[in-house]
Amino acid sequence: MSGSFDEFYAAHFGTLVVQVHAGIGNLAEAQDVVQEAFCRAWGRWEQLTGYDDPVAWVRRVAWNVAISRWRRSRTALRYVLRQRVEHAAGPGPERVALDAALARLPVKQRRAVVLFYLADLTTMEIAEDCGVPESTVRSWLHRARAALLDQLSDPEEVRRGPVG
Amino acid sequence: MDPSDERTDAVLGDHFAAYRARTLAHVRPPGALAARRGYVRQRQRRLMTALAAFVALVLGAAGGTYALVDHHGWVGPGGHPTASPASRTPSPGTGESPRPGASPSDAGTGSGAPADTGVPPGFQPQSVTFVSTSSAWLLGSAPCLSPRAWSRCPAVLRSQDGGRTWVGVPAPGDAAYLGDIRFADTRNGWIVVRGPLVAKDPGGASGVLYATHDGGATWHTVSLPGKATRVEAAGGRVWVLARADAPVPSAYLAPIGGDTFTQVWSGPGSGIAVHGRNAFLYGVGRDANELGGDIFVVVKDGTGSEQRGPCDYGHDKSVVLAAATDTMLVGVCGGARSGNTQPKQLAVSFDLGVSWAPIGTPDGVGIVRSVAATGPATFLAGAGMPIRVTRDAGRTWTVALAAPGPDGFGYVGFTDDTHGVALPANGSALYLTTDAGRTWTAHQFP
Repeated sequence: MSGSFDEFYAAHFGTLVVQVHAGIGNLAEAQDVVQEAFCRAWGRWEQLTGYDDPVAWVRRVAWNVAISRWRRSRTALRYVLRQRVEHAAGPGPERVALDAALARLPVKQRRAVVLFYLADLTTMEIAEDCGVPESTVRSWLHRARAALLDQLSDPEEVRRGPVG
Repeated sequence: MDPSDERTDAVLGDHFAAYRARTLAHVRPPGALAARRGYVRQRQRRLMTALAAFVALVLGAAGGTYALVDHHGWVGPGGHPTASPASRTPSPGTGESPRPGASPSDAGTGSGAPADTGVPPGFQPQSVTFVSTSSAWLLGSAPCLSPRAWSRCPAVLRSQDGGRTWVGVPAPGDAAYLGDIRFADTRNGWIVVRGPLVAKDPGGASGVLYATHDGGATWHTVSLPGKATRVEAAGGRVWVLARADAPVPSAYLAPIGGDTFTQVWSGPGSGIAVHGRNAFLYGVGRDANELGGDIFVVVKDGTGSEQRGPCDYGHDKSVVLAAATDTMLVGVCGGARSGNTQPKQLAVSFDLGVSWAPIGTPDGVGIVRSVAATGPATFLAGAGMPIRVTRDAGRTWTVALAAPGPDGFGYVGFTDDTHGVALPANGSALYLTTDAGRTWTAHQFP
């Protein structure tokens, strides 16, 4: 049982950190939040193995924890301070730009964008995950795309095509 | 999707793809395990050892071993036995007294088969080691059978049926001592002598490391630069903590078949937990920056690195660590004691201790001395407390095994997710479980 959990953890930790990071903009916090979600998943592992999509459960828990901490900023700061100091190279300008653009989106639009582009969910799956009609998700994505493109695009960048 | 959205989607898709790649490059890779393959092998091994144990049990009655005064007490939580005691079965060859205090020069045949004897009367267990669900050794003491200058002699027992029956094997040393026994497999084992059991007894030793490479038939002393305090074995290696004249101990490493130890770390830390090829040193003290608190060192591939441990300020007076898997650790941190109570904090790490997440804790009653972590559960044992277990990451804690006395338990450990052992601090018995700690069998020695 611990073996299957380890595999599950190894297979999904990285991608979930990417998704949560896109939502909250802090990599150390995102890793801590995903760690917390896996910790809770471990306590319910027997149950989770019966789910069709246990990753979705962990993602939802991670997102809820992230939002909860983001709102309680003092608690979030204590967790961040307890993490190891990262000595990795800082993000490039492209990642900073996207982080900043995502941060300007309302939480629901940001979540929809993250689930669409980083978790590769369909609009129907996002609607189920968020508990809203699919039309609402399409509306969020439409507005979010426009806002992101406005923030990110400069004529030079659009002509260059893919970044990196 | 309308055409403008499609163009936007393509541009944003590229941005997010690059974002994903760059972020992943900074994410700490999780501990990747060949866990599924190991899990299957473990199940196969369990099946084979269960079959072997069954055969040994059937043949054991005629095999010349003592059976214990076995209550067949399937002791559930609360400590109420549910069956009547079994009677003692005398061993053939009664009168062949055990040989407490045997030294390497007069121990068994040395051919690989320990000279089996009976369990010495008055045996009290102190330390236990299981290398599989069937093979185990106990270190303890018993009244010396022949007149000695000391009152108690060391004794080592061996079991090949998961702890149901035991035989005596040669034990190193003279006067009984406080120590630990660890075996890596059926041939290679070690005993660390921390100090004399009875302080006023002459003949006591301290800081000695004994080794055997023939299953306990013969023991010899291993030289170390300092006094040995802890020994653990896993992943084909044996780890020893030893303290020389320097104020901090050192960790030494050797392959299990040899006696040549290499120093791999020097620094504060009084405990060691191992899993696979990794070792984790822990304790409380002052680190290299003179900052007090818990100490945590990961020794991977023979190289140690100090990291932040699991304990927060206020819960850094004591720490006990267990490794559930190659990357999963559980830490139990204790605050300042007040009588028999100590505030506790538990934390779990899935990445070799790089980061820790707190989990729920039991009440403050008792002083934790030992922690065992399987994948699904965590067990705590200590002074003045029963063995407590959580099977839901600390959300709820229940009593797994009531303490037989006010001293509680000194040790709890698991060979796999279901087979475990506990030793009460008063040496009164040995407790075994085969169902993940839901029920326990008490074994008392004659």
